[in-house]
Amino acid sequence: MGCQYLEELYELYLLGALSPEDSAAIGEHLERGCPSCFENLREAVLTVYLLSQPARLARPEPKLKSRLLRRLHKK
Amino acid sequence: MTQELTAEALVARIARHEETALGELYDRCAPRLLGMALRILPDRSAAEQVIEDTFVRLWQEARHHPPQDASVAVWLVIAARNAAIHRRRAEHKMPPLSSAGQDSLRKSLAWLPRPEQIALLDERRELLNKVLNQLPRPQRHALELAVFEGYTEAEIAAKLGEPLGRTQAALRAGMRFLRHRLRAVLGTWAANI
Repeated sequence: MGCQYLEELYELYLLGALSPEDSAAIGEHLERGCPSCFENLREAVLTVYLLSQPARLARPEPKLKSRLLRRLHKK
Repeated sequence: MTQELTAEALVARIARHEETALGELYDRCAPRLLGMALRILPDRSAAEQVIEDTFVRLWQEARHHPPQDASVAVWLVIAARNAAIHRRRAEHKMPPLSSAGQDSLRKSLAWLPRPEQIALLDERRELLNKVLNQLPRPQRHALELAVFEGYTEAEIAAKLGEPLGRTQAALRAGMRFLRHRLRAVLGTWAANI
């Protein structure tokens, strides 16, 4: 797969939406450390971040934070 | 007036196991993360568990590799989303997804955007919401199935009862549209919105 073709796929790669074969091919390409592809991947992350934003925020129950902090003590 | 610490400065303190820093980052990020997790997992206790686990992961990983120039907010969103999708797919007896988003904090540093890019994106959120609303409905629906329901391209095609090629074209066209508009909004190149 060429870099230009991969540019079209990075968002779907990050979302896990590609076939295992396409996903593995991208992973192998990135392992080679291609700098322009890392730049494209970084840009794709912005799109994924934007798409993942919820329309509504949800305030967690206060007990969730207490439970989290208690759990840290056990680590 | 005390200046608010950046998320990355808080992570540097989390790396030294300062609980108050984790608590502050949690207060700042948890409402957005939980809002997202609830779109993926309607069961509130399951969504809350995912958020808790994500912050525990950060606590464990930050001390080895505190990010210098990589957005922690983005890592939290991607890690929490993937954990929620993993759980959702397991509940629906579907195989787990493979994706770069499951990388550890250390591995993610290579592809996380810079914090100032995210600050700009958050600042221009209203404009970006307008961009999202410009997506043609079929593309948006296919993208939402991928983002919030964790379907693969092939699973989306099967769910919509259409050929795989058509689904792939819709998903890729939607992503291309967003990528180009994001470049415009973030000032990488000019375009009319």
